[in-house]
Amino acid sequence: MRIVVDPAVCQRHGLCSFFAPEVFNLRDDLELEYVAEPDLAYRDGVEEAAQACPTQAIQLHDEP
Amino acid sequence: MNPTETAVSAERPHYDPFSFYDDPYPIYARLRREAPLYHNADRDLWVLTRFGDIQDASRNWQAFSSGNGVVLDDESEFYAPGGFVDQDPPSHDRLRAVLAPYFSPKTIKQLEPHVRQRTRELLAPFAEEGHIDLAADIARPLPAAVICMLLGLPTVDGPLLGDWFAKMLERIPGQIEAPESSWEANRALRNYIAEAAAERRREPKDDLLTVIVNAQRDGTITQDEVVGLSIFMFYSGIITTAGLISNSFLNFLQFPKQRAAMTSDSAVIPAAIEELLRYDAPIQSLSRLTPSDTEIHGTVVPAGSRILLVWAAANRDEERWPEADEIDIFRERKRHLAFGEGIHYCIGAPLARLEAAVVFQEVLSLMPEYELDGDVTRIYTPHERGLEKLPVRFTPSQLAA
Repeated sequence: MRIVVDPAVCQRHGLCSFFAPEVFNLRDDLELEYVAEPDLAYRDGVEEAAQACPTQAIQLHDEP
Repeated sequence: MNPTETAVSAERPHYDPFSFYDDPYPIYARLRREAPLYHNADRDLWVLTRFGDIQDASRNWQAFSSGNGVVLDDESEFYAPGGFVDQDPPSHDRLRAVLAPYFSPKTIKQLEPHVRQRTRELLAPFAEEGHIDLAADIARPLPAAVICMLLGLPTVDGPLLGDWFAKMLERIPGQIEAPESSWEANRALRNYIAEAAAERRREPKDDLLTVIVNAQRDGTITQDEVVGLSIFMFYSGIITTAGLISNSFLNFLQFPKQRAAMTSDSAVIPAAIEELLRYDAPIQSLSRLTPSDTEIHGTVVPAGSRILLVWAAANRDEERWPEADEIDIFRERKRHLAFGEGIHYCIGAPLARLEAAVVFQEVLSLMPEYELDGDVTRIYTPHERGLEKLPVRFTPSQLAA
């Protein structure tokens, strides 16, 4: 599983960090940190985050 | 067992968003328990109240469309065309993108000194008086001043704009159509914005009205949308935060320990704001339309049905929050739906959070304790919850021990 967040689309609402706090972290300086290749254990939370993102900035890619 | 209670609960619950509820939460609770997919046959309106159902619906804009309107009354006509809350992609994305860069948390954070200064200016005349109307004197004027500053509308026009705003909220109870006084105010505001926009075309400024006018010049939006988008920003930038602030000051009267905790440690205020939003959402509900037959809880909601998502009911879902009817600013942090979810998630959320945080800090430091000093008046529109009047008295600062 590979995550790509488009920084031009992301508006730092931070919803993703509610759904997958292990993967997404909106820092105090409002930069978004995320784990690009997270453990599959967090798959559900990451999918939730991608769905909830107001700007739909999160893309999920499954490695072949 | 109390026979009256049995008789009442044996009846099917009845909910009509045009009935004005001082306290809508008991009927929301009954709907969640007894009729999670409720149908008001008189209005042919479907209603969702459980957290999970509303979260699912709000993430699925294809199956729950906003393109045919999201309010049950005339309100969206006030900012049509150009408001994006009642649009689906791609129109929604095109309009939202004009304002989005200016409402990011990072950009909004820079407004804090300005918001604090305006808040102090608004509070100053009352500091020695010992009384203030927390709804009329601060909850509404502060977001109004901030949104006017962002749009670049002159402070001197504040009273005029405030008057039009108030008139646009006037409703005849139970009636879907807004009264003529509301339309008159809306026309005046439209003319005012159109003239201000024409000025920006001649002479650009460092304000959002210029940003909106430039979006027309670039071909992103139309001339009509310039006015609609500006009014949408003005209207929704005030009604929402004014509701959050006024509701919260009223709710503190029932939960004085929570208020005291916020007064003694301002570090808890951000978490408290989320809890206050959960407890009493300023936008109680918005609706969607089902473009095709949609099955919910085993019932087929026919294509073309209007369905109401009651955010405020979802936020009291006992399945998600234990003792959901209590304010507990220290409870486990869980997402609420007061700002909606999915592509329509409130663009102004960072601004609302900032304004509320500053107002709570400044007001609670001026008056750690206050009590009601007159009648509380609510605004009565079908979707919004907030106060017109919340008069309180407090010990003036120079007399405080």
